[in-house]
Amino acid sequence: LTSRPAGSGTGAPERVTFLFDPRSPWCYQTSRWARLVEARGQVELEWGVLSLEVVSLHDDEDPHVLEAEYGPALRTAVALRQRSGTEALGRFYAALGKLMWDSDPPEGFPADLVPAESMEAISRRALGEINEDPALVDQVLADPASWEAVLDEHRHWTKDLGAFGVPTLVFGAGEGPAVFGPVLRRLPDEQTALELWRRVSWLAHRGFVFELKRHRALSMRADLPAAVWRGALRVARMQAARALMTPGGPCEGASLEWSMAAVRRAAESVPPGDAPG
Amino acid sequence: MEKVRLHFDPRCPWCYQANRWAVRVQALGEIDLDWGLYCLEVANLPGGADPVALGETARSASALRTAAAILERESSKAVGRFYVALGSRVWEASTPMSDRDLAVTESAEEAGFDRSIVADAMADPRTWTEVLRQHRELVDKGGIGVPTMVLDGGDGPAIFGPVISELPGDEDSVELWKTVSWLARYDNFYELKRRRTAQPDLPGWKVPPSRLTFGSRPWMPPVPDR
Repeated sequence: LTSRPAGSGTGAPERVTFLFDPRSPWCYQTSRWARLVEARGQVELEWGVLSLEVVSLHDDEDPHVLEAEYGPALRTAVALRQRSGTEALGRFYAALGKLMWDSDPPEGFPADLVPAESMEAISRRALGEINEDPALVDQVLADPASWEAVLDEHRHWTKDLGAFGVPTLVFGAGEGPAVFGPVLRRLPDEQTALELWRRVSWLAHRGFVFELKRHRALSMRADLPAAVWRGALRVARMQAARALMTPGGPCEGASLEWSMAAVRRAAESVPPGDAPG
Repeated sequence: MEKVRLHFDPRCPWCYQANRWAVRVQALGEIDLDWGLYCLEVANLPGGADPVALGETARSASALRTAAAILERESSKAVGRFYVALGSRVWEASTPMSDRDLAVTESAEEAGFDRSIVADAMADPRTWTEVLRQHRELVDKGGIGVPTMVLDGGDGPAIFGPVISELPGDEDSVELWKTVSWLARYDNFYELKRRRTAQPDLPGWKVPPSRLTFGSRPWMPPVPDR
């Protein structure tokens, strides 16, 4: 490379804020790559959150009243960063990602579509893994302002920096530019990871480049042990939600995420064994 | 030198910007280009709909069918000359030609063909069959739109983009090519994207939509990814 931007292979590491939502296995895969690059001294990471559920809401759906499935983890994330710093948040996301995606699916799958642990429970376990107090989850869930804090941050990244999904890398120590990706199916080896970083950084600093994309089938899953199982769970819940979105249904005209929240509420109000609706 | 096939639909200004860049990279001795066809209106048909009627009605049908006729009479390189001639009239001119058929005819002439090739192409159903065949070929390789670059002269990996708003200088053009090529060959890479905060830096794009040679603007803002 003849004209490298600061930090892309020479000199000081480039400071990048990594935006995540624990719901995306692709995002977790990219975060593993980013940590590998950080370990080689090419980048200094900070961590931020963006809610994929909120991104997908229709304009007339109020995110303040959305009971987001990944809300407990995102609320814990923002509170933990406030209390213990961005490095602690990075460790929390690593622990959460490992528990969610880098663990074997439960016994019984694929014969049975074994349900996943709640995001409350898995967030408590992730805090325990990094020697933080699991009670933080209960504190944030008792405080509605913790969801407002997530929404404020989400609004900042989407409205001020143009972020629209995860993973997003916000270069310039979080000041921009913000770039979605790189979307990766598996973790690169170290040499490839560093070469990829140089390419991504070079492109990010060329504001006239907007997109490069390879076809990715909807059925493709990230190369992570739990991705097929969790993907199957999500597809099943999407199908239940779509049934509510049909003409005349209770969620006609609603967004998929809004309808999925309704499916979760219905499941919580029906005792096990009874069929909903 | 790498052989690269660039699939295009003349109605997409982003695609034309990528073509200007690719032609420059070729002039700098980095790649050897040829061209493939693609029709955005065929791509946007609802599933199962028959694309045959679009051979008459698609905004870029006459241009794409003329390109197919040029390919039959001469070569893919001649298709590239025709595309550049057309782009210079509809995207690079500050007053884009309002008569699409005239733009196509003049471009065929500039590329070295008789004006009658346009009427001949429209009268010959095989030209649309050829457009659809090349379109299908790209879709089968995972093509999702234009511009798409296919490495190894059309036999290698295909990658959508690069979507660029302006033509880079020589040094950045070459480096961009090396980056696109590296990412296209790294099959673990799927996507890198930012919100399109700029429009293509082309005079023909800045006119009111009603005066665009190819009609509506074939571009929507990005939808959220998961």
